[in-house]
Amino acid sequence: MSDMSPFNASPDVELGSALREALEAPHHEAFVGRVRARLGQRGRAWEDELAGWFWQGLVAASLATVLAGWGWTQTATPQQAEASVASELLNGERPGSEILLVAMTEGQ
Amino acid sequence: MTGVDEIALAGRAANGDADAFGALVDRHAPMARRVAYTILEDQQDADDAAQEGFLSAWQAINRYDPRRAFRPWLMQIVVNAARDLRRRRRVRTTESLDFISAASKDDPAREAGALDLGERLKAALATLPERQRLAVVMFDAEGYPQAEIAAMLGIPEGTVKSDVFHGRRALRKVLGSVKEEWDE
Repeated sequence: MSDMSPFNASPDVELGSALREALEAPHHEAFVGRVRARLGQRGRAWEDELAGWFWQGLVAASLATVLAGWGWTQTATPQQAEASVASELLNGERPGSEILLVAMTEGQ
Repeated sequence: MTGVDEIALAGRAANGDADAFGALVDRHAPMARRVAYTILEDQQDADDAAQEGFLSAWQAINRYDPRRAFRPWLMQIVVNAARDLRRRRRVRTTESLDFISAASKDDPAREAGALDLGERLKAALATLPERQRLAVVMFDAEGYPQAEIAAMLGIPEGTVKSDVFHGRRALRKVLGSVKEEWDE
């Protein structure tokens, strides 16, 4: 007999065994065979197939981006990088570059 | 079969290996059928729901997270399939006689007693609300932790504890009375 406290976290072994026996369904092999036979008839959902490819594609794209960035940092000199940022700010090619320039010149 | 084996089988199944998934079906069919019966209270409906649950799991195997245990993921799908079937189909009132043949034992007196206990437990289960039935069967018969049952049923863990307590109390009465009869 188990503790009847509602806070008891241990399964009631005797009751559990009796319940399993009471609820045991017959013809296990036949049931499993029936399910197995239907596995081939029901293919997997196309969105799940796509989902599998999606994550692989996302990983590949992320790797490509990282590699491209790493390659650029290896080939560009620091002067080139600085010149690139400075010219973009001065030319006002980036949104908000005027605000950034004003802030820099006013020492904020 | 260990959890690691199951995860490996699930991984093979995710790559389209139907035999690997079949091995998982073989392993978990008894539990899936018991849990489905607990909801539907009819063996034929329970088998239909368990089968639907396995086929849905097969279709969605790519969504299984191998960092987590396979069994609760599968049982969640079976529970949903059984509840869905119950909503769609009026539960048959005719009593399935299949389980009678499953109770055959060497000792005829014991066989009658076991059958009686099984029938009485099923009858007692039928008087409980579905949530209590599921909580006590999943906790005491299937060995799921209360936190996992709570997650599967979408209820607080405290509610599972309370349901197990009340469900046990009703079923324990039946178990006790049958044991008294056996002792006489």
